[in-house]
Amino acid sequence: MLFPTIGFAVFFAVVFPVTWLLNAHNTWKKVFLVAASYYFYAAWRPEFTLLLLVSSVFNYGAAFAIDHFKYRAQRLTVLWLAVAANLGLLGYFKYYNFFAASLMNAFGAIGVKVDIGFIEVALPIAISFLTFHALSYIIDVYRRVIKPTTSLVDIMFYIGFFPHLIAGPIVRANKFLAQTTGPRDPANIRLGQSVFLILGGLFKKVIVANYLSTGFVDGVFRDPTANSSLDLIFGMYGYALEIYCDFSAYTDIAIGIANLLGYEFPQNFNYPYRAVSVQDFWRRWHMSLSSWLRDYLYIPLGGSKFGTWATYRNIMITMALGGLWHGASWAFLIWGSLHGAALVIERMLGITGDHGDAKRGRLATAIGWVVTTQFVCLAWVFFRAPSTDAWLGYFATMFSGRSWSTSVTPFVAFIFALGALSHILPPRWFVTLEKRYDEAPLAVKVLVPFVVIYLISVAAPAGIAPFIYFQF
Amino acid sequence: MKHANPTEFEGPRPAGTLRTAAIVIYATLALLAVTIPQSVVNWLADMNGNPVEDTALRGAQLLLNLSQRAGVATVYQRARDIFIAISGAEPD
Amino acid sequence: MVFRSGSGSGIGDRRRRALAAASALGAVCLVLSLILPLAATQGRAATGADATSKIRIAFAGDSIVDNYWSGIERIVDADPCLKNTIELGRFARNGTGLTRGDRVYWPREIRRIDDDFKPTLSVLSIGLNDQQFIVDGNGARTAWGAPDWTDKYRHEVFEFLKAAVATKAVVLMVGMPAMREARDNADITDKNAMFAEAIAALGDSNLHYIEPWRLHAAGTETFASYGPDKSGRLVQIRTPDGQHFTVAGEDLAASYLFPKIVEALDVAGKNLDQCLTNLTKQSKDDQ
Repeated sequence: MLFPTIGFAVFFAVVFPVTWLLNAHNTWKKVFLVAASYYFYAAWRPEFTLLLLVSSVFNYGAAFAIDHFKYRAQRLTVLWLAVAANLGLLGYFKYYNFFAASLMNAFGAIGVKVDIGFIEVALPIAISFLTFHALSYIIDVYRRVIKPTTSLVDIMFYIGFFPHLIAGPIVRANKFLAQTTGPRDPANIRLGQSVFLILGGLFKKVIVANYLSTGFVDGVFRDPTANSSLDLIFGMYGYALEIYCDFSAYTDIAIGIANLLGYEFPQNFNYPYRAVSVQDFWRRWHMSLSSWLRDYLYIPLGGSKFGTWATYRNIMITMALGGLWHGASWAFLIWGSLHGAALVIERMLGITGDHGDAKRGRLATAIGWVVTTQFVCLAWVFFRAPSTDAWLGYFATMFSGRSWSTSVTPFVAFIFALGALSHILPPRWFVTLEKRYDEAPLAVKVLVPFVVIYLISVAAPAGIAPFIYFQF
Repeated sequence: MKHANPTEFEGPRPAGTLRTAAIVIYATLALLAVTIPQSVVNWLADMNGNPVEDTALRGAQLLLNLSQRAGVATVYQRARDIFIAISGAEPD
Repeated sequence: MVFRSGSGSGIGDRRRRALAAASALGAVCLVLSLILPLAATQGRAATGADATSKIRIAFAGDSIVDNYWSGIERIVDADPCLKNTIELGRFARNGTGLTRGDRVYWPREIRRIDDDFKPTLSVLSIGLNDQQFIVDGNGARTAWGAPDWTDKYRHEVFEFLKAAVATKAVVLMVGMPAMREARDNADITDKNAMFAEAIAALGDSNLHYIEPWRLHAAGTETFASYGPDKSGRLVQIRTPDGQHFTVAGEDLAASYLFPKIVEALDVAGKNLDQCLTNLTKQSKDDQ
């Protein structure tokens, strides 16, 4: 059930009133939202809901087991077992075939024929996200950040809540469970902000991301060597805009929907292509993932506590695994490792950089912005290109200067401009817009979303492709 | 890797009430159903069909007829035809 | 284009400068959108040969035929002679099939493709999305699983193939490849048989059923998400949905299909001998 569909609108039209009608009966409300979330997930495949249930029950029990023991060594042992079980499940569905093929290829390269065999099972949608939610819970229990909840419904609700279920944002257990303890205050609904998040998300996904993808980027990446150098450059920037608009659209809509139901999700994007360093980029891009990796991987590895080289190692491991989290392929591993290498290099050069870094001059900031955006966009080629041959061919042709003709149509150029606007318009404009909306008469409050969605529908492509991050 | 902390949520702001939110949601959906009824018909027509869905489909088709007679649905279709002609997007 | 009001840049002067830089970028983009038509050329337009003398190959059907188109396009694009001689037409409509004539009526689509594109040869694949109720030309519904569903579907298959035959193009109806889910696999096996029977019954010399692409040369074909690419390296060839091809899989399927296309064109008097590369010859030898 995709967000920008009538089916979801009807679903939400039912969920919204029932949620608030049950608000005073918090437990029943949570049971209802769990049922609604399982229905939402079952729209893809009903049998996937078993995974959701198993994960919830297992981690509910694991948290109690961790908390039961008094001594750290015992707690840590149980935690490791639980983490292994969660990652084992993820590994089975998502990574087994990749590692099997890689191992067989490695042996094949030295002339040894090995047949490990493959597992042919459907990849449950959102498995990476729900695994990270589950891990957040049990690790926070181990760290005594939270006590294990006595309510299985709460864990089912936390792991399976439909706005964040499929593609985030990754919500921390302690933050979300704190919101489940009692009825929600409807005065906390930020209507203007939620409406504009949803409308903006629909626009970014349905118009910008979809048309960039089908109108240009897919064609360029389908056969890179058949394109001109200029088209490959445009394709690289086009994909950067596409993935930003696609992914941020999903989480914007998720945040807006959750707020309308009374729940708070964290911000996930903050103008990432304004970053002036790769460190700055990761404070702005998929913020819930980067903070999760920091807190649950980088810091447990030792963070920056054990000297320079250990820090560099920990950064590389964190970013490489962060890349691999996205998908079972060497391209994602390379993409993550490239970002890790860039972060290490920045540390070596003493670049801490963000826009607020008073030590940097204007020129240094501008150079930092140019270098960062070009690096990020180049790295996206690994993320998008389907194989080693494809990205090698992409870069070889792009840097060959073969031809400077272009197949970008005026319409696609216009879509590019609309996508670029997403980073040009300053945040305070939207704050003002939301404030004006909140103060406007009711008729205006209705007309704004109606007109925007109407216009989006006029301009929408014939079919809506799934969100890019659904595959992760 | 220092971070601005995205795990901290912003505090609540002056906001619309629940009633306002409900009116906005349902009035928007109703307006969209009246002005773009074909999409509702298409959505219902995709269902496997049971008495409830069939009744809803008949209702949607009635809404489509009324909307077309009032000229409202045709506005959308014309706007879409213009957009497809200008953009070169794939027709429906 | 709306965000939760993030912290943005944090410092007034720097924010204004960043905004100025970003505004300049936006102005550049908008200007480009106006001047690019001057530089625009069709990226894949063939040069040299008169378009009307080109061999036109249409790919029509559902998303599987789009996979075939993608792989064949890479074969054609890689060879200047082929690129100069062949024009490919992409007419796949994802999510469609023969059951929902109320959405896309494929016999009419085939006629439209013939009018607009005038294919020399058509590659068709359809049926992936047909595990559902049938809506016929009168709007009558036949529920999925109803006793007369198969007869009704067979009728739609005949109408589709008759429309294809009426175009006078050579028609290759390609069977659907093995699917991961047992239910899907059983369904496509039945449908492939229906297509093959219908083609045999129609008996038109221009209409050919092409056996589906197989990973395994012998024995019962089973779904495999990984398989050897042309260099023998194991790569993912089918997508996680258990139905479609990855790019590597598209290349494998295209390597299988292209010689069939060449052979069919040859029989129809449109041979590509002048363009055949070692790769194509090797693929034919592998048959």
